[in-house]
Amino acid sequence: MAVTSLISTAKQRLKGGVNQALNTLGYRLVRADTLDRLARQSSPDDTAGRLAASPNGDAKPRNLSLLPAANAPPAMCTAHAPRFDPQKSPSQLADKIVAFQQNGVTVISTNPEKAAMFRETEQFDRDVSNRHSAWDWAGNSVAPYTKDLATGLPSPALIDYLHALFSGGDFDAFFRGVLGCPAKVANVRLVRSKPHLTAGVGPQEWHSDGCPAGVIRGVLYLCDVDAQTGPFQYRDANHREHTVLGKTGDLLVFDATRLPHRGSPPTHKTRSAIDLVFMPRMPDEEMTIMVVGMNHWPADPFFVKLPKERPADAEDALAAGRRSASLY
Amino acid sequence: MDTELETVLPVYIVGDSHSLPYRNMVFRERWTGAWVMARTKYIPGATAREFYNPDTGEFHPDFIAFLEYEGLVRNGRATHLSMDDVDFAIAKAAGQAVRPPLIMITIGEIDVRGPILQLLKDSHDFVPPFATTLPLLDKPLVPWDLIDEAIEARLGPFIAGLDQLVKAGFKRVYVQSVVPPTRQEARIRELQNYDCPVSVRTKLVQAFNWKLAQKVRSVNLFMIDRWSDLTEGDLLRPEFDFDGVHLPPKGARLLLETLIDHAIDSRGLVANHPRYELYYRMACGLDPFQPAKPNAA
Repeated sequence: MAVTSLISTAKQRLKGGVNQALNTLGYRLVRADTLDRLARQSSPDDTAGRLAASPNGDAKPRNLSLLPAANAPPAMCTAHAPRFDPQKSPSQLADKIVAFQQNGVTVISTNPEKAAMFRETEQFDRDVSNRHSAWDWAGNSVAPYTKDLATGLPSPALIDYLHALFSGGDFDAFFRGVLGCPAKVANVRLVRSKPHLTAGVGPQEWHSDGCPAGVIRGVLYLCDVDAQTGPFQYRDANHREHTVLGKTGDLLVFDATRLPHRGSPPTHKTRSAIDLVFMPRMPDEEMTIMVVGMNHWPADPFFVKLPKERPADAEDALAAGRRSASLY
Repeated sequence: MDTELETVLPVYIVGDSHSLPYRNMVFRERWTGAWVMARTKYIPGATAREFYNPDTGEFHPDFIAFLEYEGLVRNGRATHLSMDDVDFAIAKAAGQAVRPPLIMITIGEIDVRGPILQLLKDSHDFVPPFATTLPLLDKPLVPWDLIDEAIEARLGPFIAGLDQLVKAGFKRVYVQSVVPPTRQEARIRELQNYDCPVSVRTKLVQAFNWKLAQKVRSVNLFMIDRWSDLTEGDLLRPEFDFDGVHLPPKGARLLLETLIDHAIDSRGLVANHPRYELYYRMACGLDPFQPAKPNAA
């Protein structure tokens, strides 16, 4: 073994010495098989197509493979929020921040009179078809998927109320606590669940939302919600099922990706609520409330353009077009 | 003056000569009124078999060149999912939302017309494993197993390539079905140097598409097909019989509209999670390009 190693070292030194000497004359020793390999590489066959000239004139092999890349939602959407310490950051909603960080869900009471008023004054006059479809927004299908849900767009009065509510110091501290940054509202829509005894579809089925990082959901009850009104349900990390009953004005805030959840199908009473999507806001950015119908969140948070609403009279033409389109 | 800027929705169409009828095509789609623009690349002689080499993991050089030219790939990575500061700066300069691109691949017609049709020519027919209105001719039959094997051999590498595309982050990829063949027997003689009845040729394309649809679906992608609109009695409608090989642009537009109809309802896939992660880090005052340590409870 030692002899082989000695011979190998001597050969290397000899080759190195000869190369050094030849180098001064502009030559170099190259093994025959290496030369063959180099000659093959420079031949004008299909390998030539894999060589691309670099700016300095050298040829380098072109990469014809694609590397794997993931585009999956995170396991939890609030990963960058520091662990909240109520002693260091006193807040009216400190216990709610702690509850959210522990459980991924919390319930905050808001003005019940205002909520009851909006239940009566807001218009739940739409189905769940997506009239705000946009290429830059993730959202529901164009066609409605159920008749058990009615939706509506919030009135200017409701938008003003929500703007004031979420801009207030308590909620500002709350979002900084649960997200680690301020929040804005990426969507607000009215949802009314009609009583039915059939199995729920869409949001009434167990699901996780696949929200992007920093995106959390909210549901503001506009009525008292008991077991017959289709309360919010979620499963914790141990797969235990929890039912969240509530009073008019209660706001549930939850990590819709971390917690499998559903709005259970109301069996006897109608549930009226406001569906909210919160997303991170840059520290120097103003609080905004976006209204984007049946969409969820923008494709790219850096470039957000509000989708336009498709006129209602375009629906029939669209339906006709859809019928003629089919995949194999 | 503050004017609203309108951008187009690009659909990247790449493959054999069936990508050509889409060249320079623009139209307003019916769902949002956006302009759709076809960005095309014709790869001469592109076949399903040579689209991707499963042994080396390499794609056809022209396919990668197209993705690179369009800015969809840089250094072997999908740029739309990049968390690299260079790609971030490029996106910022472009000033538009970064979303997974819509891509359609046109491939397979040469595979059908080349080696597979050779098994049948004017001398044989076959019985496919699905219902068809096309007649069975009084000719010796080639067993379906042989046809199936020949199609498999061509489609195997292509589907492996699609799977790699999906793994690389291209999840909004569509495959155009092979279009119904011409009824002009003389044109086929000119192209193939042999005769083959239109019913046999058409049935073979049906069989190829039947398998293609299943295999494309197996990698969570979709095949675009408007067979019933392009044919009459399962044979190509004369108004779509253009040059004996390709659809006219009006036929291609039907297929592109079908892609749009599907894509508008598949927007669960548009969320760009890597860019949300960068955004969230920035909002939290963290360095977006340095992975942060999760520290929540």
